[in-house]
Amino acid sequence: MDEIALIHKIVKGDTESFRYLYRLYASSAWQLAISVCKHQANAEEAVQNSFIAAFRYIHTFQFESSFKTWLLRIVFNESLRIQKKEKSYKWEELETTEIEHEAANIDSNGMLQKKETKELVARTMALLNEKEGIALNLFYLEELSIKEVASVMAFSEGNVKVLLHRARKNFKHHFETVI
Amino acid sequence: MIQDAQQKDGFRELLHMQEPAPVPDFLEAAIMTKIEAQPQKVQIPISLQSVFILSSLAAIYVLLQLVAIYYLPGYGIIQDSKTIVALLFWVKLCYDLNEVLPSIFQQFQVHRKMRHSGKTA
Repeated sequence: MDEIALIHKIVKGDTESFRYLYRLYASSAWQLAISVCKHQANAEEAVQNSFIAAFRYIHTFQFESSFKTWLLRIVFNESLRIQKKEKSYKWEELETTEIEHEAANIDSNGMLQKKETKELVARTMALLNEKEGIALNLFYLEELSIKEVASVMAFSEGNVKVLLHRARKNFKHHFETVI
Repeated sequence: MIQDAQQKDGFRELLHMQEPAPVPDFLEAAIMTKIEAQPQKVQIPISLQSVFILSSLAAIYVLLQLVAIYYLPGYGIIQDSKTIVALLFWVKLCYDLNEVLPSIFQQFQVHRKMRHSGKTA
């Protein structure tokens, strides 16, 4: 169904159309929330709050960007808000995952040949700086344009270009190190 | 063009190898339950158009009061109890308009944008 018609229906209060929209973008919203929050429960809260806010304020959507960009921006802001609120908790989580990651490194040292590329990619992504990882995911996985990535992350287009350049460079560096 | 750039450097294929984290199943039900329990909030902060219309109506009201005072001496704005009732009624009307007008303008804007996007597509 045409997205504009769908939004128009939702503005009139059609919740089933919103369910359809949720199914379209839930995965993108989830990937973004989990990459910002780094914690399942916080990501769940962020996605839930974001979709509820999107439904409530969909009448303010101006059709100037795609709905996906608009929604991801809400998800990004909400995830950041939750992350800030739970900062001390998040640090503990990070420390634990870092220890686990180190343990995984030790375990896998002798079995590098058996590693699949996708595991290497996942590990390389985990080594990247948070912003770089988010920018790479939005640009390559969500296939947003630089302008849209800038809109979601509230950065200038120039900043996003620099961020992507740095992310690619660091990715290559970490990838080679991991291999 | 963007997709070309995304495909040329090989990153797209590499990153797509990651297994996306699965969305928890209960999220959809939780969101839909909350949405259905708490219907969409149509009321938005007062718009520029409604400020303009309400100001115009208020100006007309004041003008009519001034005319009434001039032609009917002793008929003050607050002197007459009927006027006080009328004033309260007017405040209530303005309050209601404040709630209704933004959604009317919003509907109008959505229709206009749909028409516009239809033309450009």
